[in-house]
Amino acid sequence: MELFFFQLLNGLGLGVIYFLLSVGLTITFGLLNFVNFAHGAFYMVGAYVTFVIVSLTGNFWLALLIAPLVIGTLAIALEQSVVKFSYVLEHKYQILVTLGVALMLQELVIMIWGPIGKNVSPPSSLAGIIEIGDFIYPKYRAFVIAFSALIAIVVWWGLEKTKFGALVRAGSENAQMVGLLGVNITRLFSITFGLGGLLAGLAGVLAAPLRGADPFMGVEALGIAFIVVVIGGMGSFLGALVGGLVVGVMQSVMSSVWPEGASLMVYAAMAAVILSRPRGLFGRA
Amino acid sequence: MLELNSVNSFYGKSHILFDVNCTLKRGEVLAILGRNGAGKSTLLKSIMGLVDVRDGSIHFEGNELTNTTSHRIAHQGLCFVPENRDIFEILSVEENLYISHNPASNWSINDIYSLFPRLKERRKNGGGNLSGGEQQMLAIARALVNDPKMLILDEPTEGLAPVIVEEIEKIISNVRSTGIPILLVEQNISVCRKVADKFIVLEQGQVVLEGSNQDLSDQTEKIEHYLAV
Repeated sequence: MELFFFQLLNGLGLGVIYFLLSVGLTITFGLLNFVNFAHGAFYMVGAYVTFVIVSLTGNFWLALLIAPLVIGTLAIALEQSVVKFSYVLEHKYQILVTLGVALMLQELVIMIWGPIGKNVSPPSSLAGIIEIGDFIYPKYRAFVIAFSALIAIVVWWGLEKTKFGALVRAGSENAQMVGLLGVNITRLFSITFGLGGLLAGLAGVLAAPLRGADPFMGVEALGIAFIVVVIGGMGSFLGALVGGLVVGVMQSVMSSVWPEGASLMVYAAMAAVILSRPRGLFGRA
Repeated sequence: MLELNSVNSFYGKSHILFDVNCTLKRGEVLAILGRNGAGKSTLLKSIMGLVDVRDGSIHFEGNELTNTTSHRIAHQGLCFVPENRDIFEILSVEENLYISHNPASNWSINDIYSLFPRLKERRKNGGGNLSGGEQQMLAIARALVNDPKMLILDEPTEGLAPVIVEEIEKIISNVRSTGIPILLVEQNISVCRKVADKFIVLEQGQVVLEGSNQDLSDQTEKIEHYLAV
């Protein structure tokens, strides 16, 4: 029972990271109808920027502050230089373009740091465990859950309660009409793309002390993000949250029950959702 | 205020508008009449930067609008209410107004609610749950809170019940009295008689008739000839 609870918490921690990873992907898809295969690379580079900052300064908090901004800036630069020219293309070309970018970033990382992963230590204040009665849990993992939940609330608030969020939602329904209200829609696209990248970078920062940084984590993350988005529904904030938690908890709990089948179950869940609700749990018709 | 000078517009390779001229002054309502497919909506879309104007020019208060992006045109105060209204269905009524709201506008969101009590009642409803009349009111309201210097309405009374048509006529007259000019595409001559100062008739992308409000009554037969299918 205790092990189950432990794995459930681990799953929640994994799930909230998956949420941060996927929410940008799903929002940019909803708003721009753009398929971004470079999204996983934002996560990977986020982990490497964390590795660099932590090795140079020993300060994880600095990485938590700076790395997402670096990745957000990288995402906007990418949007301005490459992505915005591919909005008009078919999805298959968007995939080719962004996959190319993802591979370039991956090879660049291998050229600089080599193919072997790097370890990142959690901040000393979050090393060790917390005890609640008999139950013990790693402090850093508890922090990830609490912090990501906070970020999820901020993202929800931003999307639902601010003018910017309302414009993003309106734009995902009818971008032309948003432009007719005098809103610079290309700038809205670019900022949204940047924020999505920023959140994926943040997921990379949080994941780094848990799993290290390695060049191939981006590809793995991209696969998971797409599963989450397909389960939750393209373009849906709630879908990314629920989908992320479902995938995280399932992976974690299954890994102690039936380790070989953990990924299988995730794909089976995705297949079941596609069969019963082709637009995902919270996808718009 | 608005000046169109031999405008030629295209959809891809199809030439839709041929040398269209018209002008609109402060406080005027210009009605654009014509059959379906005559180019009325294309004319409005040409002004809003939504179709390709290859020849001629469009000026608003001396600024060139020809082939500028829509958001820049809208930013100059040309507020467009499209034919299918384009209400954001996933946003509430209030959010539809809020994202458009410009503090400089003569109409605050509260003014809108006293002008359209029905929208106030339904302000928490999703834009997708409104009736056709409510959607039309919201679309006009959304343009009014955007600080219009000019209002462009594409068939605002189409398919609506007579009571609602009357309400929309009232709103148009109300806006006109504030000095804001209105460009109105309208199939219904009786609406035009009540609200328009002047009119043009389009046929196959060309202006074939123009006149004053008085002419709408004097030349009814001629106009109806152009509108008849």
